[in-house]
Amino acid sequence: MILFVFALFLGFFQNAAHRSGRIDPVSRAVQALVVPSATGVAGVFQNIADFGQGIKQAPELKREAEELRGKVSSLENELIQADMERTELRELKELLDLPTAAGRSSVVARIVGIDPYRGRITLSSGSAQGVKPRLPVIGPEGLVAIVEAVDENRSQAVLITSPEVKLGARALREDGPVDGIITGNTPNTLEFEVVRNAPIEVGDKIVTSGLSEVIPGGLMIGEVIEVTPAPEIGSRLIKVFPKLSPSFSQEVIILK
Amino acid sequence: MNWKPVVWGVIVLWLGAVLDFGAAPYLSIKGGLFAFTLTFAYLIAAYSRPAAGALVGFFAGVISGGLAGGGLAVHIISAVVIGFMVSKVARQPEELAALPTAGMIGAALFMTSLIRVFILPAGSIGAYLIAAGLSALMSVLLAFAVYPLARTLFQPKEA
Repeated sequence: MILFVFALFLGFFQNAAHRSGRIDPVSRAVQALVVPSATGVAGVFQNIADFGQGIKQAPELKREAEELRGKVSSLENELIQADMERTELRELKELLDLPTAAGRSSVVARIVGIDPYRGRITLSSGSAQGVKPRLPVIGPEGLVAIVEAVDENRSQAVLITSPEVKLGARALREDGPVDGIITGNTPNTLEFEVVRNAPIEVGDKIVTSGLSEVIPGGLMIGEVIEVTPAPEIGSRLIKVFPKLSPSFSQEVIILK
Repeated sequence: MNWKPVVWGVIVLWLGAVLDFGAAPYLSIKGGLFAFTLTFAYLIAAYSRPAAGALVGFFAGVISGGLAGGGLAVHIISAVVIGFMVSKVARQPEELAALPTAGMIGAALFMTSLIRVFILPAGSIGAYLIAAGLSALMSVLLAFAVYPLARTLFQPKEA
């Protein structure tokens, strides 16, 4: 009975800490004791996984490397062009005496823990780097997670596949975008809710709608893989396959 | 009091937590994960008195809830209940062999998942139960593999 009371007390403490955007002391202590050693173990497993994958995909990787070399040189040219245009734009704005648009800065963080059961990741940056709750975490494929709790040098984020996450989303279609709400469902699927007769088809790309104050629009979320009529809820069940694939020690960007 | 099993218990639970956090995501099969901390905790509980089994469950719950960063109370309560039950079931006049012990640990893992989903519902119950079932089967293998070591470390010495 004492253990149950203690469990409820600790649970209450954790929820209270989360509500104020902090990591509770118990989780912090457990993670401090475990994460440093676990990072080493994960590094070993990551190397083994990379080695196995490297052997399996060697021919494909070689071809891809050649393609990427070509793309890199083309992108380098574009980057130089963009830099020149940015400088020109700033100079023009200064000439017009307009304030320079405050672009959002970002923090690069590393994934140091993944809990697929509860749909959470632990990131290597925290409040000391300017991370705050509710900021979007972006990977190479698009939106990965939303920051939930922040410690000084660590933060926890909820994956967009978690049922706890609801986001404004937009289906990109040639006949015009369709707005709706995307919700996590399973580790491999999301559900997209739209108004009753909105046109949605398998293959439609889903991005963030940009209607939120902190999550910009146009971040890739996934692709529609199934549209099933669901007369019992007077609508359709639209399943989306997420683009995110968070892996241990992968670098992500937290958009401030 | 014999402190040796207590010290080994702390080391084994810490090792379980390190493997849960660092290795389990790489050993996942179709959503099923090796639940190192809970498997080790229930093996310890199998060689403990019911009150000690519940206490081991408590610490395992603190570790798994702390690492998950959410649902701490649910993790602790489920592990305390099942740690207590494992200890009760394992206290037979004759010692359980490796396979029944491993089977019991697998069942305990599955029941832990059921308690968790009952208190804290998952998004898709079907997918959750499949993953929980696979995790339980994987834990049977893990418990079977580490049974001899657990027996050596935690079996009470004959008076």
